[in-house]
Amino acid sequence: MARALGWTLLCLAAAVTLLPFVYMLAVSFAAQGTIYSGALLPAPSLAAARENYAFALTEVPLARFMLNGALVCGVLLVLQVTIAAPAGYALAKLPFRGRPVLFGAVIVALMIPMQVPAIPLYVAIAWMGLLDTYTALIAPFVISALAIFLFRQFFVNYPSEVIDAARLDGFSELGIVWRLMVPAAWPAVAAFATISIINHWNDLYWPLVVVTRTEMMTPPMGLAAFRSSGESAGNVGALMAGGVMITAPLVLAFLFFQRALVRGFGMGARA
Amino acid sequence: MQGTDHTMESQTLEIADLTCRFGAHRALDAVSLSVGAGEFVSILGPSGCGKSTLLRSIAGLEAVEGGTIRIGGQSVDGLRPRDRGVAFVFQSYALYPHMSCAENIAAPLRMSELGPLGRLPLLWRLSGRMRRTRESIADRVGATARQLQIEPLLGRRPAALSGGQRQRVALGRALIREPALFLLDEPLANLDAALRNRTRTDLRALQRRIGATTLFVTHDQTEAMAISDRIAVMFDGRIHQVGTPDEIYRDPETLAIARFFSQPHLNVVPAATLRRHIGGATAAGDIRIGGAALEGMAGVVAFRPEDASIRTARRPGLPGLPCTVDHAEHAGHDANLFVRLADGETAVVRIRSHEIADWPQGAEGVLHFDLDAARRFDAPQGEAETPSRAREVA
Repeated sequence: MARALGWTLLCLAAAVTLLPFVYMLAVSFAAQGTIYSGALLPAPSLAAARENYAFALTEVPLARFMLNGALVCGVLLVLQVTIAAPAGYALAKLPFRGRPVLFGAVIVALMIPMQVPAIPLYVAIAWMGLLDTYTALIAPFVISALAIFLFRQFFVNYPSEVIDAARLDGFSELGIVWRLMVPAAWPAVAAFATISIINHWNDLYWPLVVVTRTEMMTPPMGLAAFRSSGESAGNVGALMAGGVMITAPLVLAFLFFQRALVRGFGMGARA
Repeated sequence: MQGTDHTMESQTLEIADLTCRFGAHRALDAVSLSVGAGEFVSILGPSGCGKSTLLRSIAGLEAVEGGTIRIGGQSVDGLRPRDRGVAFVFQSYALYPHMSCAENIAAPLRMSELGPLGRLPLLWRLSGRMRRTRESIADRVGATARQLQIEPLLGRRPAALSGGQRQRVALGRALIREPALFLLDEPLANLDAALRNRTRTDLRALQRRIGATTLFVTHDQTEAMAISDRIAVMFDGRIHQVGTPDEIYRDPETLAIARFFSQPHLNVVPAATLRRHIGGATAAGDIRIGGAALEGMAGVVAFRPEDASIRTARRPGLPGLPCTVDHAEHAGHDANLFVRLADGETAVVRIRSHEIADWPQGAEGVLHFDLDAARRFDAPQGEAETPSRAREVA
């Protein structure tokens, strides 16, 4: 009985979560005239779908936006892991003076929203003449408190005797991080990769602050520009087609990393 | 086992005044120890006595506060663990979980003989030198595996191995470096009893064959006595006695060491009690224990259950203590008979197990013990039965 109730609630929650996506997909396949017909889901048509997707791809450089998004997310992720893995190792396994304070600082940093340092960051980037560059999109996020925290939680459980054995075998400290700890912590890496990619792919706030040129726009920003651009105003089908295209990579990435994501967070929470 | 054995140039180890502190706790308190080339020395003590810390300090894994360590006459103070030429086998084996056994055993050689480029996949094929180094490493891994009889396991991950197999892989990883000094931290503790005894014999045979200087940490005195050339007994961060198994067993310097080497039981009777109740044809003044007269003796007298016997009547001409039987514990061939002495102390006598029926509870008897095997120690004060206190009293 309680089980059945639980199932029902979960199904309801899933339906509520999925419905906007289903609706977005349906509208992107529908002709302009049928969208407001009053049906729960508008009828799809192949011709309308082709027209919507073609319009979205040609009216604005959607492919360029997605390339920008992929580049920013990819480079950012590599840099974040490159910095956070050794930092997490130091916080987890190397005893040094001030370590608890530093770890506390990481936790505090987790709680500061992006909006707080936005203005000084903007001023600094503008002063360096880096507005409208990839650097402006990437640099502020290279040091991720979340990544450091997540890795630290994962590394804490790694057996210290194995690290000692590695030191005797001639591994350097960085060798220990990259050859032993990171391979053992791949669920954490995958979990963080998913979060980081979703966050920065979807981020609209920061690109709006530092980007004005169309060719530097990231997908959500490009979509927003598309919505407000003169010719496409009111073309809901094309807008939804754009939405589908910029959402798809994330959904695929999530499906790919799903198992690791759950494991990564499960183990991180236990520590 | 033919020409493939590792043979090592044995090195001496000298430790002087080594001190290590964790907060206020002195884990090592001015520890000094000399180990000859090719010698097998056990460090024996209860858990928390600092024996693992000593081993880790020698390996360079623990920062020491003072003192010097010399290996082969060369000071290794300040050297990184990898540069000390020591190999370490951990109690947990500490194998690299995501590497195969072959990769585990090869790891020290890969790190020392291949550059960062040579460790990259594929790239090493381009260079003849790197290829030859890789081949030589693979050969040595094969030879080590043959020596330890773990060749069929080389492709497996540590998680797929039994405890005994892991232990051999860990030994292989230590062996392949041909180190000047072997440090073994309770390498047998995680094995079941039957395997432990066999591995103990194998380990000692291997050490004799390759002739490596070895330091072996254990809390098991039978293990230490079975395997060692010499034993260093450690309590509270200090080495209390160093000697051959026989020297320490026969002549423990403190009551704590005597207790440690007489597990599970050691009879400890105050000299005063002994004087009061011991009877016999001889007067107490003629009785000598450990070379000293019982008359006027202070402290306690200790003797092992196997050096004691019980009879229904005093043997003429021999001193004995009147006692009452409490209960017996069967131990296979032998049995331990618990008796109560006149002043209420409990003593244990080793008897043959078929004699249990002769000694029902409440039976009266006379306890004799071998006066030459008994030893006198300073009395432990209150709960201060630690040897360090006993020494301070002395």
